[in-house]
Amino acid sequence: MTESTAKLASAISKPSGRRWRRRRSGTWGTGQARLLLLPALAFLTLFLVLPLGITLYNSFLASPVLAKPDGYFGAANYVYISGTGIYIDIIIRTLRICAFVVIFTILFSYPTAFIFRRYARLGSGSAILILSFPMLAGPLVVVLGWMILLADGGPVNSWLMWLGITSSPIEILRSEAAIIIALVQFTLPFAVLNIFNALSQVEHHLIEAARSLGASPLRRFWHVILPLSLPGVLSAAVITFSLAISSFIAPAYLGGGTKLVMTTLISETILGSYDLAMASTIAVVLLVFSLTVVIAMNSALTRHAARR
Amino acid sequence: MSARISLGSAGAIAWLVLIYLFVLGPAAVVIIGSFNTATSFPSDFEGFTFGWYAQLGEHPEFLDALFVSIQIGAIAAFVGSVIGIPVALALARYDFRFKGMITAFIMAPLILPQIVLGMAMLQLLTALQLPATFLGLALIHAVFVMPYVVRAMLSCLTGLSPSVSEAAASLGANAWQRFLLITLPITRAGIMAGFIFAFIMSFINLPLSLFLTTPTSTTLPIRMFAYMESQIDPFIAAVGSLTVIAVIAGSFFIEKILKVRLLA
Repeated sequence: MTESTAKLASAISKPSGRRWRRRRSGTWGTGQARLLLLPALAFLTLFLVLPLGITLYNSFLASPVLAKPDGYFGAANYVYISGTGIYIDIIIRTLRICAFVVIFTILFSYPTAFIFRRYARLGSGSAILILSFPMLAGPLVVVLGWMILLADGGPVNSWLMWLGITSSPIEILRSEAAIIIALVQFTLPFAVLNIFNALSQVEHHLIEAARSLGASPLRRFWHVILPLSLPGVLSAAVITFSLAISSFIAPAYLGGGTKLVMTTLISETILGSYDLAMASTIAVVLLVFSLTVVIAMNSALTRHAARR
Repeated sequence: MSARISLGSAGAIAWLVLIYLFVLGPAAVVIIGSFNTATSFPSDFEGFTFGWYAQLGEHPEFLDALFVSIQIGAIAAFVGSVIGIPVALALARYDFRFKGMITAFIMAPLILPQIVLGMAMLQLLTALQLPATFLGLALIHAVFVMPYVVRAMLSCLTGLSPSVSEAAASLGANAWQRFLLITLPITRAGIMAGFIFAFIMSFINLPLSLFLTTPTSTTLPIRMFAYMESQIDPFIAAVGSLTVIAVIAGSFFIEKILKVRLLA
Protein backbone atom coordinates (compact mmCIF):
# COMPACT_ATOMS: atom_id res chain seq x y z
CA MET A 1 0.00 0.00 0.00
CA THR A 2 2.63 2.50 1.13
CA GLU A 3 4.96 1.40 -1.61
CA SER A 4 2.38 1.76 -4.33
CA THR A 5 1.33 5.23 -3.20
CA ALA A 6 4.96 6.28 -3.06
CA LYS A 7 5.36 4.97 -6.59
CA LEU A 8 2.27 6.90 -7.69
CA ALA A 9 3.54 10.05 -6.02
CA SER A 10 6.96 9.80 -7.59
CA ALA A 11 5.39 9.12 -10.98
CA ILE A 12 3.37 12.31 -10.68
CA SER A 13 6.31 14.42 -9.59
CA LYS A 14 8.74 12.82 -11.99
CA PRO A 15 10.56 15.85 -13.42
CA SER A 16 11.50 17.46 -10.13
CA GLY A 17 11.36 14.37 -7.94
CA ARG A 18 14.53 12.98 -9.42
CA ARG A 19 16.58 16.01 -8.51
CA TRP A 20 15.34 16.18 -4.93
CA ARG A 21 15.51 12.50 -4.17
CA ARG A 22 17.99 13.06 -1.38
CA ARG A 23 15.28 14.55 0.80
CA ARG A 24 12.67 11.94 0.12
CA SER A 25 13.22 9.63 3.06
CA GLY A 26 14.39 12.19 5.63
CA THR A 27 11.73 13.12 8.16
CA TRP A 28 13.06 16.69 8.05
CA GLY A 29 12.10 17.00 4.39
CA THR A 30 8.59 15.67 4.79
CA GLY A 31 8.10 17.80 7.88
CA GLN A 32 8.88 20.92 5.91
CA ALA A 33 6.60 19.81 3.08
CA ARG A 34 3.86 19.29 5.65
CA LEU A 35 4.38 22.80 6.95
CA LEU A 36 4.13 24.24 3.44
CA LEU A 37 0.95 22.29 2.69
CA LEU A 38 -0.76 22.90 6.01
CA PRO A 39 -2.31 26.34 5.31
CA ALA A 40 -3.81 25.14 2.02
CA LEU A 41 -5.14 21.90 3.50
CA ALA A 42 -6.65 23.77 6.46
CA PHE A 43 -8.16 26.42 4.19
CA LEU A 44 -9.69 23.86 1.82
CA THR A 45 -10.99 21.77 4.71
CA LEU A 46 -12.78 24.77 6.20
CA PHE A 47 -14.10 26.37 3.04
CA LEU A 48 -14.44 23.46 0.61
CA VAL A 49 -14.80 20.16 2.47
CA LEU A 50 -16.94 21.55 5.29
CA PRO A 51 -19.38 23.39 2.95
CA LEU A 52 -19.65 20.29 0.75
CA GLY A 53 -20.17 18.16 3.88
CA ILE A 54 -23.00 20.43 4.99
CA THR A 55 -24.46 20.18 1.49
CA LEU A 56 -24.35 16.38 1.69
CA TYR A 57 -26.00 16.50 5.14
CA ASN A 58 -28.70 18.91 3.95
CA SER A 59 -29.49 16.64 1.02
CA PHE A 60 -30.92 14.17 3.57
CA LEU A 61 -33.22 16.75 5.12
CA ALA A 62 -36.67 16.74 3.56
CA SER A 63 -37.57 19.37 0.99
CA PRO A 64 -40.63 21.47 1.97
CA VAL A 65 -42.51 20.09 -1.06
CA LEU A 66 -42.43 16.62 0.51
CA ALA A 67 -44.21 17.74 3.72
CA LYS A 68 -42.22 15.40 5.96
CA PRO A 69 -42.36 15.81 9.75
CA ASP A 70 -39.83 18.07 11.46
CA GLY A 71 -36.54 16.41 12.25
CA TYR A 72 -36.74 14.03 9.28
CA PHE A 73 -33.42 12.68 8.13
CA GLY A 74 -33.38 10.24 5.23
CA ALA A 75 -33.26 9.69 1.50
CA ALA A 76 -36.70 11.14 0.73
CA ASN A 77 -35.35 13.78 -1.67
CA TYR A 78 -33.38 11.17 -3.60
CA VAL A 79 -36.42 8.92 -3.82
CA TYR A 80 -38.53 11.86 -4.98
CA ILE A 81 -36.02 12.86 -7.67
CA SER A 82 -35.65 9.35 -9.01
CA GLY A 83 -39.43 8.94 -9.19
CA THR A 84 -40.31 12.30 -10.74
CA GLY A 85 -40.36 12.62 -14.52
CA ILE A 86 -39.25 16.24 -14.66
CA TYR A 87 -36.10 15.54 -12.67
CA ILE A 88 -35.27 12.41 -14.66
CA ASP A 89 -35.77 14.38 -17.90
CA ILE A 90 -33.39 17.07 -16.69
CA ILE A 91 -30.71 14.54 -15.71
CA ILE A 92 -31.02 12.77 -19.06
CA ARG A 93 -30.96 16.09 -20.95
CA THR A 94 -27.80 17.10 -19.06
CA LEU A 95 -26.04 13.86 -19.95
CA ARG A 96 -27.28 13.97 -23.56
CA ILE A 97 -25.95 17.52 -24.01
CA CYS A 98 -22.61 16.51 -22.47
CA ALA A 99 -22.34 13.49 -24.78
CA PHE A 100 -22.96 15.60 -27.90
CA VAL A 101 -20.53 18.26 -26.71
CA VAL A 102 -17.78 15.69 -26.09
CA ILE A 103 -18.31 14.07 -29.51
CA PHE A 104 -18.35 17.32 -31.51
CA THR A 105 -15.52 18.90 -29.53
CA ILE A 106 -13.24 15.91 -30.14
CA LEU A 107 -14.22 15.76 -33.83
CA PHE A 108 -13.37 19.44 -34.27
CA SER A 109 -10.31 19.63 -32.05
CA TYR A 110 -8.41 16.57 -33.30
CA PRO A 111 -7.87 17.86 -36.86
CA THR A 112 -7.07 21.31 -35.46
CA ALA A 113 -4.43 19.94 -33.08
CA PHE A 114 -3.13 17.74 -35.91
CA ILE A 115 -2.67 20.75 -38.17
CA PHE A 116 -0.90 22.62 -35.35
CA ARG A 117 1.48 19.71 -34.98
CA ARG A 118 1.99 19.26 -38.73
CA TYR A 119 2.82 22.95 -39.19
CA ALA A 120 5.01 23.26 -36.12
CA ARG A 121 5.44 27.02 -36.41
CA LEU A 122 1.70 27.47 -35.78
CA GLY A 123 1.67 25.32 -32.68
CA SER A 124 4.60 26.96 -30.99
CA GLY A 125 3.59 30.53 -31.81
CA SER A 126 0.70 32.68 -30.74
CA ALA A 127 -1.85 30.67 -32.73
CA ILE A 128 -2.84 28.50 -29.77
CA LEU A 129 -2.85 31.46 -27.40
CA ILE A 130 -5.28 33.29 -29.70
CA LEU A 131 -7.44 30.19 -29.98
CA SER A 132 -7.61 29.86 -26.20
CA PHE A 133 -8.69 33.45 -25.80
CA PRO A 134 -12.41 32.66 -25.16
CA MET A 135 -11.50 30.63 -22.08
CA LEU A 136 -9.89 33.77 -20.69
CA ALA A 137 -12.63 36.14 -21.81
CA GLY A 138 -15.06 34.01 -19.83
CA PRO A 139 -18.32 32.35 -20.77
CA LEU A 140 -20.52 35.39 -20.09
CA VAL A 141 -19.18 37.50 -22.96
CA VAL A 142 -19.04 34.49 -25.26
CA VAL A 143 -22.64 33.55 -24.48
CA LEU A 144 -23.68 37.17 -25.04
CA GLY A 145 -22.13 36.83 -28.49
CA TRP A 146 -24.09 33.65 -29.18
CA MET A 147 -27.28 35.34 -28.01
CA ILE A 148 -26.71 38.10 -30.56
CA LEU A 149 -25.73 35.63 -33.31
CA LEU A 150 -28.49 33.06 -32.76
CA ALA A 151 -31.37 35.48 -32.05
CA ASP A 152 -34.59 34.92 -33.97
CA GLY A 153 -33.87 37.79 -36.37
CA GLY A 154 -30.11 37.53 -35.92
CA PRO A 155 -27.18 37.01 -38.30
CA VAL A 156 -27.15 33.18 -38.25
CA ASN A 157 -30.79 33.07 -39.27
CA SER A 158 -30.16 35.56 -42.10
CA TRP A 159 -27.24 33.44 -43.35
CA LEU A 160 -29.31 30.27 -43.23
CA MET A 161 -32.05 32.00 -45.24
CA TRP A 162 -29.53 33.49 -47.69
CA LEU A 163 -28.04 30.04 -48.21
CA GLY A 164 -31.54 28.73 -48.81
CA ILE A 165 -31.34 26.22 -45.97
CA THR A 166 -34.49 27.61 -44.46
CA SER A 167 -37.13 29.93 -45.90
CA SER A 168 -38.27 31.55 -42.68
CA PRO A 169 -36.37 32.30 -39.46
CA ILE A 170 -36.07 29.25 -37.23
CA GLU A 171 -35.86 29.30 -33.45
CA ILE A 172 -32.29 28.38 -32.52
CA LEU A 173 -32.23 30.06 -29.12
CA ARG A 174 -34.05 28.20 -26.39
CA SER A 175 -33.02 24.86 -27.86
CA GLU A 176 -30.55 22.17 -26.85
CA ALA A 177 -28.75 22.82 -30.14
CA ALA A 178 -27.90 26.35 -29.03
CA ILE A 179 -26.48 25.05 -25.74
CA ILE A 180 -24.43 22.41 -27.57
CA ILE A 181 -23.07 24.91 -30.13
CA ALA A 182 -21.94 27.32 -27.41
CA LEU A 183 -20.41 24.58 -25.25
CA VAL A 184 -18.51 23.05 -28.17
CA GLN A 185 -17.11 26.49 -28.92
CA PHE A 186 -16.20 27.03 -25.26
CA THR A 187 -14.55 23.64 -24.69
CA LEU A 188 -12.76 23.39 -28.05
CA PRO A 189 -9.59 25.29 -27.00
CA PHE A 190 -9.13 23.10 -23.90
CA ALA A 191 -9.41 19.96 -26.02
CA VAL A 192 -7.09 21.30 -28.74
CA LEU A 193 -4.42 22.08 -26.12
CA ASN A 194 -4.64 18.57 -24.65
CA ILE A 195 -4.59 16.73 -27.95
CA PHE A 196 -1.83 18.98 -29.27
CA ASN A 197 0.32 18.15 -26.24
CA ALA A 198 -0.32 14.44 -26.76
CA LEU A 199 0.48 14.67 -30.48
CA SER A 200 3.68 16.59 -29.75
CA GLN A 201 4.86 13.69 -27.63
CA VAL A 202 4.47 11.17 -30.45
CA GLU A 203 8.09 10.63 -31.28
CA HIS A 204 9.08 11.57 -34.74
CA HIS A 205 11.34 8.59 -35.34
CA LEU A 206 8.37 6.23 -34.92
CA ILE A 207 6.59 7.97 -37.79
CA GLU A 208 9.82 7.98 -39.80
CA ALA A 209 10.25 4.26 -39.14
CA ALA A 210 6.74 3.60 -40.41
CA ARG A 211 7.46 5.73 -43.45
CA SER A 212 10.71 3.93 -44.22
CA LEU A 213 8.85 0.62 -44.00
CA GLY A 214 6.58 1.89 -46.74
CA ALA A 215 3.48 2.84 -44.78
CA SER A 216 1.25 5.31 -46.60
CA PRO A 217 0.32 8.59 -44.81
CA LEU A 218 -3.09 7.13 -44.00
CA ARG A 219 -1.59 3.95 -42.54
CA ARG A 220 0.97 5.96 -40.60
CA PHE A 221 -1.85 7.98 -39.11
CA TRP A 222 -4.12 5.02 -38.39
CA HIS A 223 -1.51 2.62 -36.98
CA VAL A 224 1.04 4.96 -35.37
CA ILE A 225 -0.14 8.49 -34.67
CA LEU A 226 -3.75 7.85 -33.70
CA PRO A 227 -3.11 5.03 -31.17
CA LEU A 228 -0.26 6.97 -29.55
CA SER A 229 -2.38 10.11 -29.21
CA LEU A 230 -5.43 8.33 -27.78
CA PRO A 231 -4.58 9.09 -24.12
CA GLY A 232 -4.57 12.78 -25.06
CA VAL A 233 -7.96 12.37 -26.72
CA LEU A 234 -9.30 10.65 -23.62
CA SER A 235 -8.03 13.35 -21.29
CA ALA A 236 -9.47 15.99 -23.63
CA ALA A 237 -12.79 14.14 -23.40
CA VAL A 238 -12.61 14.15 -19.59
CA ILE A 239 -11.97 17.89 -19.47
CA THR A 240 -14.69 18.59 -22.03
CA PHE A 241 -17.20 16.47 -20.14
CA SER A 242 -16.48 18.09 -16.78
CA LEU A 243 -16.64 21.58 -18.29
CA ALA A 244 -19.91 20.74 -20.05
CA ILE A 245 -21.66 19.18 -17.05
CA SER A 246 -20.54 22.10 -14.82
CA SER A 247 -21.52 24.83 -17.28
CA PHE A 248 -24.14 27.22 -16.09
CA ILE A 249 -24.21 30.40 -18.20
CA ALA A 250 -24.73 28.73 -21.59
CA PRO A 251 -27.74 26.62 -20.50
CA ALA A 252 -29.15 29.49 -18.42
CA TYR A 253 -29.34 31.84 -21.39
CA LEU A 254 -29.37 29.73 -24.52
CA GLY A 255 -31.68 27.03 -23.18
CA GLY A 256 -34.22 29.43 -21.75
CA GLY A 257 -36.47 28.46 -18.88
CA THR A 258 -37.73 25.30 -20.57
CA LYS A 259 -34.47 23.48 -21.28
CA LEU A 260 -33.20 23.09 -17.73
CA VAL A 261 -30.03 21.15 -16.99
CA MET A 262 -28.75 20.15 -13.55
CA THR A 263 -26.82 23.37 -12.88
CA THR A 264 -29.69 25.65 -13.88
CA LEU A 265 -32.07 23.41 -11.91
CA ILE A 266 -29.96 24.10 -8.80
CA SER A 267 -30.18 27.85 -9.34
CA GLU A 268 -33.94 27.66 -10.00
CA THR A 269 -34.41 25.62 -6.83
CA ILE A 270 -32.53 28.14 -4.70
CA LEU A 271 -33.42 31.46 -6.32
CA GLY A 272 -36.99 30.38 -7.17
CA SER A 273 -38.11 28.62 -4.00
CA TYR A 274 -35.10 28.79 -1.64
CA ASP A 275 -35.31 25.02 -1.19
CA LEU A 276 -31.80 24.33 0.12
CA ALA A 277 -32.55 20.66 0.86
CA MET A 278 -33.64 19.83 -2.69
CA ALA A 279 -30.89 21.97 -4.20
CA SER A 280 -28.34 20.05 -2.10
CA THR A 281 -29.74 16.73 -3.33
CA ILE A 282 -29.46 17.82 -6.97
CA ALA A 283 -25.94 19.09 -6.31
CA VAL A 284 -24.93 15.72 -4.83
CA VAL A 285 -26.37 13.90 -7.85
CA LEU A 286 -24.52 16.29 -10.16
CA LEU A 287 -21.25 15.72 -8.28
CA VAL A 288 -21.70 11.95 -8.40
CA PHE A 289 -22.21 11.98 -12.18
CA SER A 290 -19.39 14.40 -12.78
CA LEU A 291 -16.83 12.73 -10.49
CA THR A 292 -17.72 9.18 -11.54
CA VAL A 293 -16.99 9.93 -15.18
CA VAL A 294 -13.82 11.89 -14.39
CA ILE A 295 -12.46 9.22 -12.02
CA ALA A 296 -13.37 6.33 -14.34
CA MET A 297 -11.71 7.98 -17.32
CA ASN A 298 -8.67 8.96 -15.27
CA SER A 299 -8.17 5.43 -14.00
CA ALA A 300 -8.46 4.19 -17.59
CA LEU A 301 -5.72 6.67 -18.48
CA THR A 302 -3.53 5.52 -15.60
CA ARG A 303 -4.00 1.87 -16.57
CA HIS A 304 -3.12 2.73 -20.15
CA ALA A 305 0.02 4.56 -19.02
CA ALA A 306 1.00 1.63 -16.79
CA ARG A 307 0.67 -0.84 -19.68
CA ARG A 308 3.10 1.08 -21.85
CA MET B 1 3.33 15.36 -55.16
CA SER B 2 3.79 19.07 -54.64
CA ALA B 3 0.27 19.67 -55.90
CA ARG B 4 -1.05 17.27 -53.26
CA ILE B 5 0.89 19.02 -50.51
CA SER B 6 -0.43 22.43 -51.48
CA LEU B 7 -3.92 20.98 -51.72
CA GLY B 8 -3.44 19.57 -48.24
CA SER B 9 -2.21 22.84 -46.80
CA ALA B 10 -5.02 24.74 -48.51
CA GLY B 11 -7.45 22.38 -46.80
CA ALA B 12 -5.62 22.84 -43.49
CA ILE B 13 -5.78 26.63 -43.81
CA ALA B 14 -9.48 26.54 -44.71
CA TRP B 15 -10.17 24.31 -41.69
CA LEU B 16 -8.23 26.61 -39.37
CA VAL B 17 -10.06 29.68 -40.72
CA LEU B 18 -13.41 28.03 -39.98
CA ILE B 19 -12.31 26.94 -36.49
CA TYR B 20 -10.97 30.40 -35.64
CA LEU B 21 -14.18 32.03 -36.92
CA PHE B 22 -16.22 29.63 -34.80
CA VAL B 23 -14.14 30.06 -31.64
CA LEU B 24 -13.46 33.80 -31.85
CA GLY B 25 -16.66 34.86 -33.64
CA PRO B 26 -18.98 35.29 -30.64
CA ALA B 27 -16.59 37.57 -28.72
CA ALA B 28 -15.85 39.50 -31.93
CA VAL B 29 -19.60 40.00 -32.46
CA VAL B 30 -19.87 41.48 -28.96
CA ILE B 31 -16.99 43.90 -29.57
CA ILE B 32 -18.31 44.97 -32.99
CA GLY B 33 -21.83 45.28 -31.58
CA SER B 34 -20.65 47.60 -28.83
CA PHE B 35 -19.97 50.29 -31.48
CA ASN B 36 -23.40 49.95 -33.09
CA THR B 37 -25.73 52.96 -32.92
CA ALA B 38 -28.78 50.65 -32.87
CA THR B 39 -30.55 50.57 -29.52
CA SER B 40 -31.15 46.83 -29.24
CA PHE B 41 -30.20 43.50 -30.81
CA PRO B 42 -30.85 41.86 -33.22
CA SER B 43 -29.99 44.66 -35.56
CA ASP B 44 -27.86 45.47 -38.60
CA PHE B 45 -24.81 47.64 -38.07
CA GLU B 46 -26.53 51.01 -38.32
CA GLY B 47 -23.62 53.30 -37.60
CA PHE B 48 -20.47 53.73 -35.56
CA THR B 49 -20.44 55.25 -32.08
CA PHE B 50 -18.38 55.29 -28.90
CA GLY B 51 -21.50 56.47 -27.10
CA TRP B 52 -22.28 53.18 -25.33
CA TYR B 53 -18.97 53.29 -23.52
CA ALA B 54 -19.77 56.81 -22.30
CA GLN B 55 -23.15 55.48 -21.08
CA LEU B 56 -21.26 53.59 -18.40
CA GLY B 57 -21.02 56.86 -16.48
CA GLU B 58 -24.80 56.93 -16.27
CA HIS B 59 -24.97 53.46 -14.74
CA PRO B 60 -23.48 53.79 -11.25
CA GLU B 61 -24.65 50.25 -10.42
CA PHE B 62 -22.20 48.88 -13.02
CA LEU B 63 -19.36 50.99 -11.64
CA ASP B 64 -20.18 49.80 -8.10
CA ALA B 65 -20.22 46.21 -9.33
CA LEU B 66 -16.89 46.76 -11.11
CA PHE B 67 -15.44 48.03 -7.84
CA VAL B 68 -16.77 44.99 -5.93
CA SER B 69 -15.35 42.63 -8.57
CA ILE B 70 -11.93 44.30 -8.36
CA GLN B 71 -11.95 44.00 -4.56
CA ILE B 72 -13.06 40.37 -4.62
CA GLY B 73 -10.54 39.52 -7.35
CA ALA B 74 -7.69 41.19 -5.47
CA ILE B 75 -8.55 39.55 -2.12
CA ALA B 76 -9.03 36.13 -3.75
CA ALA B 77 -5.78 36.41 -5.71
CA PHE B 78 -3.91 37.56 -2.60
CA VAL B 79 -5.26 34.82 -0.32
CA GLY B 80 -4.83 32.28 -3.13
CA SER B 81 -1.19 33.35 -3.55
CA VAL B 82 -0.34 33.33 0.16
CA ILE B 83 -1.73 29.81 0.48
CA GLY B 84 -0.93 28.51 -2.99
CA ILE B 85 2.74 29.51 -3.30
CA PRO B 86 3.86 27.25 -0.39
CA VAL B 87 1.85 24.41 -1.98
CA ALA B 88 3.74 24.83 -5.24
CA LEU B 89 7.06 24.87 -3.34
CA ALA B 90 6.12 21.65 -1.53
CA LEU B 91 4.98 19.91 -4.72
CA ALA B 92 8.05 20.96 -6.69
CA ARG B 93 10.67 20.18 -4.03
CA TYR B 94 9.53 17.29 -1.92
CA ASP B 95 8.31 13.79 -2.34
CA PHE B 96 5.97 12.70 0.37
CA ARG B 97 3.29 10.13 1.05
CA PHE B 98 -0.07 10.57 -0.67
CA LYS B 99 1.42 13.25 -2.92
CA GLY B 100 -0.89 12.28 -5.78
CA MET B 101 -3.99 12.40 -3.61
CA ILE B 102 -3.01 15.71 -2.00
CA THR B 103 -2.35 17.24 -5.42
CA ALA B 104 -5.74 16.06 -6.67
CA PHE B 105 -7.41 17.50 -3.56
CA ILE B 106 -5.75 20.88 -3.98
CA MET B 107 -6.64 21.00 -7.68
CA ALA B 108 -10.21 19.82 -7.05
CA PRO B 109 -11.83 23.30 -7.21
CA LEU B 110 -10.93 23.32 -10.91
CA ILE B 111 -13.13 20.34 -11.77
CA LEU B 112 -15.97 20.80 -9.28
CA PRO B 113 -19.00 22.60 -10.73
CA GLN B 114 -18.67 26.23 -9.67
CA ILE B 115 -22.37 26.56 -9.03
CA VAL B 116 -22.05 23.78 -6.45
CA LEU B 117 -19.07 25.54 -4.82
CA GLY B 118 -21.08 28.75 -4.52
CA MET B 119 -24.10 26.90 -3.19
CA ALA B 120 -21.98 24.98 -0.68
CA MET B 121 -20.59 28.26 0.65
CA LEU B 122 -24.17 29.53 0.98
CA GLN B 123 -25.00 26.37 2.97
CA LEU B 124 -22.02 26.97 5.28
CA LEU B 125 -23.07 30.58 5.88
CA THR B 126 -26.67 29.49 6.48
CA ALA B 127 -25.56 26.78 8.91
CA LEU B 128 -23.51 29.37 10.81
CA GLN B 129 -26.53 31.67 10.62
CA LEU B 130 -24.47 34.32 8.87
CA PRO B 131 -26.04 36.30 6.05
CA ALA B 132 -24.55 36.03 2.56
CA THR B 133 -21.69 38.42 2.95
CA PHE B 134 -18.76 39.94 1.13
CA LEU B 135 -16.54 37.63 3.18
CA GLY B 136 -18.24 34.47 1.91
CA LEU B 137 -17.90 35.74 -1.64
CA ALA B 138 -14.19 36.46 -1.19
CA LEU B 139 -13.53 33.10 0.50
CA ILE B 140 -15.13 30.94 -2.18
CA HIS B 141 -13.35 32.94 -4.90
CA ALA B 142 -10.07 32.32 -3.04
CA VAL B 143 -10.79 28.56 -2.91
CA PHE B 144 -11.46 28.61 -6.63
CA VAL B 145 -8.40 30.61 -7.77
CA MET B 146 -5.78 28.93 -5.56
CA PRO B 147 -5.14 26.04 -8.01
CA TYR B 148 -4.36 28.58 -10.76
CA VAL B 149 -1.70 30.13 -8.50
CA VAL B 150 -0.24 26.69 -7.79
CA ARG B 151 -0.13 25.88 -11.50
CA ALA B 152 1.53 29.16 -12.48
CA MET B 153 4.09 28.79 -9.70
CA LEU B 154 4.80 25.14 -10.56
CA SER B 155 5.48 26.02 -14.19
CA CYS B 156 8.16 28.42 -12.92
CA LEU B 157 9.64 26.17 -10.24
CA THR B 158 10.15 23.09 -12.37
CA GLY B 159 12.76 24.99 -14.37
CA LEU B 160 14.55 26.13 -11.23
CA SER B 161 17.69 24.29 -10.17
CA PRO B 162 17.81 23.39 -6.47
CA SER B 163 21.58 23.86 -6.39
CA VAL B 164 21.29 27.63 -5.87
CA SER B 165 19.18 27.14 -2.79
CA GLU B 166 21.48 24.36 -1.57
CA ALA B 167 24.49 26.61 -2.02
CA ALA B 168 22.79 29.23 0.13
CA ALA B 169 22.00 26.59 2.73
CA SER B 170 25.63 25.50 2.86
CA LEU B 171 26.58 29.14 3.43
CA GLY B 172 24.34 29.16 6.47
CA ALA B 173 21.11 30.73 5.18
CA ASN B 174 18.03 29.48 7.01
CA ALA B 175 14.82 28.41 5.29
CA TRP B 176 13.22 31.87 5.52
CA GLN B 177 16.30 33.62 4.19
CA ARG B 178 16.55 31.16 1.32
CA PHE B 179 12.90 31.73 0.47
CA LEU B 180 13.04 35.54 0.69
CA LEU B 181 16.45 36.08 -0.92
CA ILE B 182 16.61 33.29 -3.49
CA THR B 183 13.36 31.53 -4.34
CA LEU B 184 11.19 34.66 -4.25
CA PRO B 185 13.31 36.82 -6.60
CA ILE B 186 13.85 33.95 -9.05
CA THR B 187 10.16 33.06 -9.19
CA ARG B 188 8.89 36.65 -9.21
CA ALA B 189 7.46 36.21 -12.72
CA GLY B 190 5.55 33.11 -11.64
CA ILE B 191 4.16 34.86 -8.59
CA MET B 192 3.00 37.86 -10.62
CA ALA B 193 1.56 35.63 -13.34
CA GLY B 194 -0.27 33.53 -10.76
CA PHE B 195 -1.70 36.61 -9.09
CA ILE B 196 -2.90 38.18 -12.35
CA PHE B 197 -4.31 34.93 -13.67
CA ALA B 198 -6.09 34.26 -10.37
CA PHE B 199 -7.50 37.79 -10.48
CA ILE B 200 -8.78 37.27 -14.04
CA MET B 201 -10.38 33.94 -13.16
CA SER B 202 -12.18 35.52 -10.20
CA PHE B 203 -13.08 38.66 -12.15
CA ILE B 204 -14.89 36.84 -14.98
CA ASN B 205 -16.59 34.24 -12.77
CA LEU B 206 -20.34 34.24 -12.39
CA PRO B 207 -21.65 30.92 -10.95
CA LEU B 208 -19.52 31.14 -7.78
CA SER B 209 -21.19 34.42 -6.83
CA LEU B 210 -24.76 33.69 -7.91
CA PHE B 211 -26.12 32.80 -4.45
CA LEU B 212 -23.81 34.99 -2.39
CA THR B 213 -24.40 38.47 -3.71
CA THR B 214 -26.25 41.08 -1.71
CA PRO B 215 -27.53 44.45 -2.93
CA THR B 216 -24.34 46.06 -1.63
CA SER B 217 -21.94 43.42 -2.89
CA THR B 218 -22.89 42.48 -6.44
CA THR B 219 -20.08 41.49 -8.79
CA LEU B 220 -19.83 42.74 -12.35
CA PRO B 221 -20.72 39.39 -14.00
CA ILE B 222 -23.82 39.12 -11.79
CA ARG B 223 -24.82 42.68 -12.71
CA MET B 224 -24.35 41.89 -16.41
CA PHE B 225 -26.28 38.63 -16.00
CA ALA B 226 -29.24 40.44 -14.43
CA TYR B 227 -29.21 43.10 -17.16
CA MET B 228 -29.07 40.45 -19.92
CA GLU B 229 -32.19 38.76 -18.53
CA SER B 230 -34.27 41.77 -19.57
CA GLN B 231 -32.45 43.04 -22.66
CA ILE B 232 -29.55 42.52 -25.05
CA ASP B 233 -28.23 45.81 -26.38
CA PRO B 234 -24.98 47.53 -27.43
CA PHE B 235 -24.57 48.94 -23.92
CA ILE B 236 -24.13 45.51 -22.35
CA ALA B 237 -21.90 44.60 -25.31
CA ALA B 238 -19.74 47.62 -24.40
CA VAL B 239 -19.49 46.46 -20.78
CA GLY B 240 -18.56 42.97 -21.98
CA SER B 241 -15.98 44.37 -24.42
CA LEU B 242 -14.28 46.33 -21.65
CA THR B 243 -13.86 43.17 -19.55
CA VAL B 244 -12.55 41.36 -22.63
CA ILE B 245 -9.99 44.10 -23.31
CA ALA B 246 -8.83 44.03 -19.68
CA VAL B 247 -8.48 40.25 -19.79
CA ILE B 248 -6.57 40.31 -23.11
CA ALA B 249 -4.20 42.91 -21.66
CA GLY B 250 -3.63 40.81 -18.54
CA SER B 251 -3.02 37.55 -20.35
CA PHE B 252 -0.79 39.25 -22.94
CA PHE B 253 1.25 40.62 -20.05
CA ILE B 254 1.57 37.15 -18.52
CA GLU B 255 2.54 35.39 -21.75
CA LYS B 256 4.74 37.99 -23.44
CA ILE B 257 6.25 40.13 -20.67
CA LEU B 258 6.44 37.65 -17.77
CA LYS B 259 6.93 34.78 -20.25
CA VAL B 260 4.95 32.33 -18.16
CA ARG B 261 3.02 29.78 -20.19
CA LEU B 262 -0.23 29.15 -18.39
CA LEU B 263 -2.12 27.28 -21.02
CA ALA B 264 0.32 24.81 -22.53
